[in-house]
Amino acid sequence: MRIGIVYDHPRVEEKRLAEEARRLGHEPIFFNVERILFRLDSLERSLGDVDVVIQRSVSYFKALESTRILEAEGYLVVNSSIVQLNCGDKLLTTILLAKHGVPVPRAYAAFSREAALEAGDHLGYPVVVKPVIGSWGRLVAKADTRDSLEAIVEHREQLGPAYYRVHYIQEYVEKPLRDIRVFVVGDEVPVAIYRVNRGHWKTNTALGAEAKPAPVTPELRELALRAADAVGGGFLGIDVFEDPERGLLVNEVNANSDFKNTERVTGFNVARALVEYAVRLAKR
Amino acid sequence: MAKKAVCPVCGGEVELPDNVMDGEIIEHDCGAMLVVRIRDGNIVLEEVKGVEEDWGE
Repeated sequence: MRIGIVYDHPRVEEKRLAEEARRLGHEPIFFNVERILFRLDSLERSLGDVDVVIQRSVSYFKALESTRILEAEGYLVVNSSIVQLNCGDKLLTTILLAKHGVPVPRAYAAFSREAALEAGDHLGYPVVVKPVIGSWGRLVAKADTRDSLEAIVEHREQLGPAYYRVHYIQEYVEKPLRDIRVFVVGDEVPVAIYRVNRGHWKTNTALGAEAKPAPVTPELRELALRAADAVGGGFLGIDVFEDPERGLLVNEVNANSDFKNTERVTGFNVARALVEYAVRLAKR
Repeated sequence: MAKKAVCPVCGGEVELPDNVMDGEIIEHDCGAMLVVRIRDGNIVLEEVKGVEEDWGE
């Protein structure tokens, strides 16, 4: 099978996908999304003859828009544009999870400084303020007091992109210096890691958190599948908090998940699982 | 033979992995983050000013 891998800045993950595709007897073909000229008025097949496409662009907007075009051209893309959209906007992810009864941290959306402060008052401090679009913990801030929340929101309102003026304000969950990244591949939950950060409240591995193997308990498995179902399913990296009183809460769902640290510490072949999943979809 | 290019920040030589790809981001010894651009087999490095606001997972 010819497997297109669309990327903008290839990393270990994308090279691993190609490696595993070859081992499975498939032909991986790389496409740099920045080098493709997409024709919109005739929807010619921009990637030529490929059976399935794995979208791996790190730019959310390039991934989303190029996937929309590729789908319109008739390609099967993993993950689909709908799933990317559902996961790429944290506000949208949260409301989809809540709508499907998946437990999430308490959170508010506020569209003004005054409403943001009201959200903080409702939640109680500290609170976490997040950009609705963004990743790797970037510009995620903790406000310990009303004054600090006001300062964070004021700074955000001076930033360029309009979406920084959509304030996503979440309760601060007293998690045990770690969170869980659990992977869903179709209807399977093959692997999970703890992301441990003893030096900072953020647990992104991009910010130095240490990856350690985590068990996929029946409870975690069931939660991960429900979260995946809420956003449309696919290949997903789901971030889960362990709340001391409420149990597992889904914080975020990633549609373009990094996996090199998971492979390194667990030995599980995530790349192979993703390739096999894409091939299974293409054969349907 | 290892692929080589010139760092646009310090002017030093940059040794690239054999499987280097167009668009790949590498860190040079001088601390610069560089993106690899490959056109018609020619390799040019450009400085990356920082992570873009929509980059991620």
